[in-house]
Amino acid sequence: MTGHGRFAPQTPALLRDAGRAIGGALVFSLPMLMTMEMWQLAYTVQAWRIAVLVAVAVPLLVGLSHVIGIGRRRKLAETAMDAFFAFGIAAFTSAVVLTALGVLAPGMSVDEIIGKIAIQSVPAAIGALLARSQLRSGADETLGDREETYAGELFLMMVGALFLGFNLAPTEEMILISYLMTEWHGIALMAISIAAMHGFVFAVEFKGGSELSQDTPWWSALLRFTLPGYAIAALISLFLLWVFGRTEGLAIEMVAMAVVVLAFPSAIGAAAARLIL
Amino acid sequence: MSEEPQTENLPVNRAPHPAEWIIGAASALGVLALVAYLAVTAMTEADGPPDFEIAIDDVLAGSGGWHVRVTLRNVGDKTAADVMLRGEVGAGETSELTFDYVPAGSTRRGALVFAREPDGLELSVRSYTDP
Repeated sequence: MTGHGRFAPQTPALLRDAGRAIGGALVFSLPMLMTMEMWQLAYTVQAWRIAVLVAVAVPLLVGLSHVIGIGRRRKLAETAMDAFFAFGIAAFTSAVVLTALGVLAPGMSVDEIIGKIAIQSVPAAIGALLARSQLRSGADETLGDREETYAGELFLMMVGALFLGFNLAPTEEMILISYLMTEWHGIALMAISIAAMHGFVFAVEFKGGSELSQDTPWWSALLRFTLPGYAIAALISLFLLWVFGRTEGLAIEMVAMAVVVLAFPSAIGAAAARLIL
Repeated sequence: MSEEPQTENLPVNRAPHPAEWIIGAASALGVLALVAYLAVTAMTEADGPPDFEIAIDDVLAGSGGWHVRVTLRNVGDKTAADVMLRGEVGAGETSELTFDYVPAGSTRRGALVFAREPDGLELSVRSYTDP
């Protein structure tokens, strides 16, 4: 199943794409496929919240397919096809792995089985989609030609925040950590998150990072890119906490703290997405 | 990713569109508002122990007994963990319920089950730990 390596050139294109997508889905979603809380969400969360999650994920995947969509302009139908292909591969991969792990078994209700697969499919679909751009072999590399736009950068930050946030939001620890922290810890964590985001992209000169030209002062990049990125990470965190039922019955200051806690990994995910994609 | 893109062509170095400043300013305000909210909360927070309010939402006859659905609200200043709620009916029957976490200002729901109709039910929190 480690099908993301090199294929012989004669491998049929569809099979090759499917193999890459499965590889990507596995790499991106295995930590979640093997997390207990992710399975439990299928029956601890109302079905309509999972429906909202999937409804949000679909346009997000279409957008991601468009943003990483290679070089040439493509029609919406093509982009949407890519996204649905990724979602289908993700659902298939999740179903196979969860069955192999014994997490899906006879006797479970249809609701439970569908819920378990649906939740896992979202991060797996991001992986499946990215696999086609990131895990491609050197010969057909065209991603460098992609023209970067402001909206595109914000969008990639949203995907990165959603992905890393997804890894952590279901765990008990997000809420537990917020109980351990005081509000002063929270403010310090916000500062650390923002500094880390800014540093990742602009300061430490990672490959794929953005070097500021001499005409662009650091505060301009902070205001136009890093702070909106953090705001996106915080909103995505709130959304994920809500989807996973973590905000239920929680006092507003506790929700704020949980958002700050989850926004830390989400912000790192957002910054990493700008570097990697 | 193979070629380092031209520094001047990166979105961050292009002449900013006015919308970028608006989005940036809105985000900065949001972040500052969150910091201010946390700071004010921290400064006005009292340092008392957890305290509980218990409400009976519903009493239902199930096949295995009577379900007393309860809501526990922590009206104190601190989060409580492993909160043990005990219900006693006059006839000597008791039933217990443990909540993992009840954060300050937050509510949690659950049910106690009794074999007979719970007349004269008394509910009380018997123990909790600091998280």
